[in-house]
Amino acid sequence: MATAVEQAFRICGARVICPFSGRDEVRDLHVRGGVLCADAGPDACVIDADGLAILPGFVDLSAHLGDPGYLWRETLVTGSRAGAAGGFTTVVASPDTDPVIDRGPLLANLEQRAAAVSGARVRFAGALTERLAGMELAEIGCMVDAGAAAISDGGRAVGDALVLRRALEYAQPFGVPVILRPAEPELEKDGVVHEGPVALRIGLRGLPSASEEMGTGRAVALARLTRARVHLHGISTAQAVRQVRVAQEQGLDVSCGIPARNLILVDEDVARSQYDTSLRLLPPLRTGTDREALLQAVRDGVAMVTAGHVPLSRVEKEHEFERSAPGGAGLESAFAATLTALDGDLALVAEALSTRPASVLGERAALSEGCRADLVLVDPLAETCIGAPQFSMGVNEPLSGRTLRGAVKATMVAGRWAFNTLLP
Amino acid sequence: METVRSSEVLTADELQRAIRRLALELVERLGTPDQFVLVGIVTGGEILAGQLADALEALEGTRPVVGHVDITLYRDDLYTGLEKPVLGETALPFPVSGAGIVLVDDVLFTGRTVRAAFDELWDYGRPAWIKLLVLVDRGHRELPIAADFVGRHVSTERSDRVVVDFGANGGVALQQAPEGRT
Amino acid sequence: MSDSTARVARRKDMLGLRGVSREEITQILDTAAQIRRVNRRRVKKVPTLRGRTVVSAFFENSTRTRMSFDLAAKRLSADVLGFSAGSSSTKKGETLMDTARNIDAWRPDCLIIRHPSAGAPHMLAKAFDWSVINAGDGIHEHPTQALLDMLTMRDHLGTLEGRTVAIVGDVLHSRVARSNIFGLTTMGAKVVVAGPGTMCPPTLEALGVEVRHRIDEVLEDAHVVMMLRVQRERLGKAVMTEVAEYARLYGLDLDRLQRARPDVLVMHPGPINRGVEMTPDVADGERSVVLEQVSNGLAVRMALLYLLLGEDGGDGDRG
Repeated sequence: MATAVEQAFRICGARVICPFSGRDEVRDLHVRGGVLCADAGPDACVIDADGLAILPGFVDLSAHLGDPGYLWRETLVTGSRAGAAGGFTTVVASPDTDPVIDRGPLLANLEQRAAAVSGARVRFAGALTERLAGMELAEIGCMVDAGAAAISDGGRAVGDALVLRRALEYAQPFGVPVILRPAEPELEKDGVVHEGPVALRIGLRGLPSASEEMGTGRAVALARLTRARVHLHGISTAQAVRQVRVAQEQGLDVSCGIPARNLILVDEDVARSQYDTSLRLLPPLRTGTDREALLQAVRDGVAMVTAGHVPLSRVEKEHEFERSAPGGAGLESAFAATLTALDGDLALVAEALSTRPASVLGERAALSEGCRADLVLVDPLAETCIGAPQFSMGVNEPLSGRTLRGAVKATMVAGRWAFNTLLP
Repeated sequence: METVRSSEVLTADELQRAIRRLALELVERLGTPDQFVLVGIVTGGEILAGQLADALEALEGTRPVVGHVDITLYRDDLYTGLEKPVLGETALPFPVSGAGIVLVDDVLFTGRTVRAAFDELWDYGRPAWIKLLVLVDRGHRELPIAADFVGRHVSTERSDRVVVDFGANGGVALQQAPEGRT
Repeated sequence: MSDSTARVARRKDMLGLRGVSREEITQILDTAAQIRRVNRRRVKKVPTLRGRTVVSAFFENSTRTRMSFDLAAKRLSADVLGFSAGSSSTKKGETLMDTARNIDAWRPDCLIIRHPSAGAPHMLAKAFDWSVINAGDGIHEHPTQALLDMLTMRDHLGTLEGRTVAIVGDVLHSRVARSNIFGLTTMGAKVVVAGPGTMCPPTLEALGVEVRHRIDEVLEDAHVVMMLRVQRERLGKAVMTEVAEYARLYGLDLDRLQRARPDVLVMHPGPINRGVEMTPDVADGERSVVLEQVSNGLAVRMALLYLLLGEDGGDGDRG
């Protein structure tokens, strides 16, 4: 791999879209030594990318990679590959592992192992509370020093408002984003689908929108109080994006990510699928009205898009709907889902999947000279028939069976091909 | 649509005459109508049994007890098609055990319907005896079953259909399948 | 012999009444009304399903529904195999699909399943080619209960069209109520529900019913009052206050009954908590048709087995 970094490439004929610099034109892109440069030199490997588009590499802020502890779901290696195949150059692994990533040494050890992966760059979010139990604070400082990209309780929502306040206060001086799932845990007990007429009809217990609304309200209020940087992961309701919009207008450092599938699917799809457990998701699929509000939030720059990657095995999904584990794989389908949902608007896709999430990590996702060569080549006109994930170990692709627009052709991470269907 | 060739076997009048003759035969061979009961097989046999009872009443002044059986639940061909036959009614307003029963059907063909009717009657009790009366015997038996009283023997092809209409303008018709089809 | 055939195409499964047409419900009720005669004979058995294998898998306790299904299958001469969660390996970590694959290896013709999770019967119906009858899935549906309720109502009311049925109790968490609501509204009846806000929230209107909160508001116009069973031990946190309050606000007693139509039918899916949902004099009174419900349950289940059980390579001709 070390030699790959020295390699030089000239990628020709693609439409290069960089929302960060505002440039959107057909031009050649030169890469040498892992960074974008003006001229890759005469020995550069020439890649014909005619008809393709180049976007800054996608960044996902919270993916379950199952490592350590759930190696039948995913490992750093497979998760990294799945990320690269989906166009992601950076994937932040959430701390819902066994043991939970709640200590500096564990995170440092994982960072070491992650240095060896061949796909997307893998970074880690350290736990906000010990064992994600929502009671005592985890070793936030040590984990930041060990390289934590963010602090998060993963899929768990912190129920105790005082603990949440203290956690935000504690994390704030370290400058890392705190990633929260906005929810009111007591309101979500036994719930498996969006609470509404569909749930009523098909006899499944509901997860009320009110839970997300309250979780968001509390996070926004505490962000105001503590001045912490808060990123809300897995927003799914119209009410929650409205609250985030207001918070941003008031100048708070609050951002949010919407699972790409929630821009396509709605709760009625659960009924239509006759209890297909790959549609048991957290956050759940909501109503058409919610979906419209989510799309508008992405268009307006209020929200970004996340893969919402929770890979699960057959054994965890092949159950009755209520008993199957919640979650869906998403790294490999997120781009096509987002492009389809955003009607083929590549510049908006680049903002939603690259620029905005990178900025949460304090990074610039740009395609200018001198920038790290994190980029993705996509075919915007290809039709992709979504099936089971090919690189992830998860079997649960909620969009399975759907034909979406766009396909990832190659992904470059710091000048190295992490995924490539173009090279001979 | 392909044409179905239809020929008349009995006119409405002839059908009524056949019923009266069958009624006469019943009295001759079995005695007065209080010595037996009529049980029609739903639906054609049920209508025939009613008309026979009318004829017997006109003839003898007494009307026999009439019942009917729907043999659907006893059929041996329930699992061959996509549609299930509609269940009809069974009504046997007399104790079956010890009864002398004249089983009545409009057309006797393979004999399977009669077999099913036997089975059903036995589940209601043990009759003293059973005689079989049919309006038309069209042959092609698949079981060793014979009628005791027959209105008319008709020679048919296996693929033909015998249509009985007990209405005032009805009669019995033989419908032949179109050429080249069986 | 007549050529009368079913008015509606055969279906493979009976998973719920939602989406089942009026014609089909009518066909099932008509068939049940005819098939009842078998239960009144000396020989209470017909050979209709001879050689068929019916497996009843109950992952939730229920003696009565299970016995009713077993008896229905036996009266049609099917072989019945019982299978209950307690005696099976489901408690040893086997998934429902694993269990079903084992059952499949016995080549059954029909599976009757009761399961605490909504959609469990649907999952099996999708995966296997045998018929599946839902005998209750979570809080979703219990179609045979609703069919027997509708048969009982039709026996007394002649038709369901334009009739008013009041359902009182925990409608939100009741599969009996859900199936009845789907079936009754399809048949043109009006359904009014009453219960505490935690059991009859206004959102229930999405199911096409009227929501009231006092039993007295629904009694006057109702042709049928269906009282749902209160299962306090199964209710979640803070759904219900003291039983005495429930009985006082939503229980049916003679006093209340006198304000109803004189020919009102009182129904209950059983078993009744006497003194809670209704007083003993109402439960055993002349307006109660609870025992008719039980006997119609047998008929409806026989009818469904008759209508569902599939074709094979049988020998064709008849006559």
